[in-house]
Amino acid sequence: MSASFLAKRSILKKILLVLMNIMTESLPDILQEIGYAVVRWKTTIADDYDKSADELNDILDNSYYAVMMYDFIPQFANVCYDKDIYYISWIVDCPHFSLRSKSVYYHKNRIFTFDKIQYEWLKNRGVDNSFYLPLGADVRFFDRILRQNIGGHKNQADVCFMGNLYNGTDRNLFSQINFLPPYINGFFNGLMQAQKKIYNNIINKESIPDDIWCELKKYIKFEVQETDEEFYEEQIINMLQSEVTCRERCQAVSLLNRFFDFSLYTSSNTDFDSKILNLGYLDYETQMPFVFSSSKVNLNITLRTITSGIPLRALDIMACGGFLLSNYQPELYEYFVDKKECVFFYDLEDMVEKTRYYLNSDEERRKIARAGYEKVKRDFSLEKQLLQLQQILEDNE
Amino acid sequence: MRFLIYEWNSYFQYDIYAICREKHIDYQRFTWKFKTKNEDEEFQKWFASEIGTKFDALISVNYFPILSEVCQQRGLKYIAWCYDNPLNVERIEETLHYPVNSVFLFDRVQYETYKKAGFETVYYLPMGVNRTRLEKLKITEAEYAKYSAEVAFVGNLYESKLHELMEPMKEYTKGYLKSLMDIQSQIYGYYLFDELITEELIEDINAHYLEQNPDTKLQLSKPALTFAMASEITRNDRLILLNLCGKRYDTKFYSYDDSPLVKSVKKCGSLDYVLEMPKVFASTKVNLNPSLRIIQTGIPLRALDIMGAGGFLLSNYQEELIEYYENEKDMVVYESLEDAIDKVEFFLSHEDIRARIAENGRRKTLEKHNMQNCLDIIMKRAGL
Repeated sequence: MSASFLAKRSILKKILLVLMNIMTESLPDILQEIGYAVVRWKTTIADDYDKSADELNDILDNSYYAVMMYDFIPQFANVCYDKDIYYISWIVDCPHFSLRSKSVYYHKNRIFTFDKIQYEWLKNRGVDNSFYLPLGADVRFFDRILRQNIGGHKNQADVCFMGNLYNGTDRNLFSQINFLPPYINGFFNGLMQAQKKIYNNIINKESIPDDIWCELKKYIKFEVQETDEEFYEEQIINMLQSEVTCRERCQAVSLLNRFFDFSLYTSSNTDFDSKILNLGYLDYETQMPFVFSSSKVNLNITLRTITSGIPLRALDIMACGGFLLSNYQPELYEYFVDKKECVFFYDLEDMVEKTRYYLNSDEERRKIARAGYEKVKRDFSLEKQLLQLQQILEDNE
Repeated sequence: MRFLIYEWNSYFQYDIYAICREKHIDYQRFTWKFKTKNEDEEFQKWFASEIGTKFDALISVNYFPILSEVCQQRGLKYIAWCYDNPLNVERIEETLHYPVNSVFLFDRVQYETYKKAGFETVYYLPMGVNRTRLEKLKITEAEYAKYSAEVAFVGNLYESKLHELMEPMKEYTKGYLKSLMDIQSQIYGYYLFDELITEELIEDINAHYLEQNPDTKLQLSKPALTFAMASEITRNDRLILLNLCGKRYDTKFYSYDDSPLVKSVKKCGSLDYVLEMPKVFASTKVNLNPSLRIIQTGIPLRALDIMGAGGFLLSNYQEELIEYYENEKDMVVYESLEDAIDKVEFFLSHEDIRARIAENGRRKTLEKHNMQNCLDIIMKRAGL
């Protein structure tokens, strides 16, 4: 570490780091290295935020500078507000419905989001303490684990996809609709089929005519009932985008499986295609890095509700030295050079063609994977992003 | 060299005659009203007995299976110079492969579709204008006074039969087609209908027609449905554009069609392609070209007509247009109707830029997109 970081150690700021599923191993270490004192905390009551907020309330005293976590939990923001402690929340998914809570407006909040459109949305709603911060890959951790286990996965298939297929009831509300008038059903299906062909997002409030919006409430109700018109619309749009993702991913894995030596890692049901061998859940830390680094082509098919930001999956693939073939995703396309650091496809046909091309071009593929790794290490490592976060915190104290 | 030219009601062929004369190519014209484009026994007899054998090729504007048939029988080369897209010819696959054929298509996607289907007789050739005629173009003060306008559009409104076709469809299908049309109308440069209107959907529609009315003669084909949908979008594009311009600027609309939905523009009726149209383009400040949406990538002849006459062209985004011309240097493309209006506003108030672009467009069109060159290419490809 450089001298400037060491200097900060004299007045260590204490952060309570809320441990969660997606936390990567190096996060607390890096926070310490850049000058924070870190206390790790895991709630004992994960499914009840009111109760875990009480727990948090008991732990926090005025020695703390901030509470930090991925996700925004209004109850935690409330505790931090009461104690006058910063609440640092790094949003890594989209949509994130709790950002609609009134608690987002507290002056002690520091909300970071990985998606430019979500960031604009927050700003437009007057959330002044919101900032744009792309995700970072834990390059250091991946380097270490891959070094320890060289050649761990020799029998890896040529092509791999890891991720949820969005066909389960937990992620797919569209499949749970009992009845829709045929006209609306046809309209939605047309919209979703078209979206599959078009790489930019086309599903938004304007793409559904007013007469359909008026009818819709009779047939689709959500668990979280809100009087807020805009929230209802957002839920409908998310529902359609998730269904498009489901159709896209299911079709993609079938295609890849038909044409290539393909491995699928998912906790989703794959009964829709009996030829697919589902290798199941892949552990993020102990298994995933080896799969990414030893597959020839790694697919990223972004969840359609993320209309702009870079998904962590894409960065992780490159951070593990894997070759990334991704759907066109605006911010990924903005920061990474197509066909130099990773490769973009524009629809599923294109995906198959490019997979075939890069499987047959060993040299080119390795070169791209190498350049992708270097780029992530240089500009999108967790260290890099946390330094950025620190800078923003200091500029906004 | 001696051509036989089939004459029908097409404005394009008069320039073909003129260019043949210019190139000292002998030609003979004939005309016939076919029973159908595919079959006409009487014509075949007449052709065999009346048409001599001293020709090197038969030329027609667009493709006629019956002409290909008689040429194949006689071993005479058949050249179809097509300005319609799609060709909209039934059972084209029965004759298109005849080795006597050389069929020239201006839309690359259409060309590739036939090529992929295995037809060796099709060629890709963008359209062109009659250079000699347009180089001589002169406009008198009286003509300028008659034709001048801030904005003009020359073309049809494409009254489509879509509503009649859709009325007896299932509600589901209506919703599905409506969403595809809504999306397509917002997007230029990507054509949705080919892939998203499947043959299964067409079968389902036809089955439902029969279910509704067992005596119905209404049976739909995919080309007919997609053409109707594209026409409907084109019609809406044109209506909205005309009305938006009409409200803001001195706008003229030249067309056979009329519609009460077109308001606040000056409706000027139809124009003679050779004698009047170039003068309109040259006398108008901004010439609109909202393409027929079924033309997927090709340059519509209208766009070339405008530029060749020295008119300033404002066109929808069209892939081949920006491939052969430089946007905002030779012409200007818009990517939505709002964008079109912004650009009309801008270029009306920037006369110097507009004039420079129009002149660049004129120079490039006359030099690179002229029928004189096209005919040379056609003769070479056809082995003449």
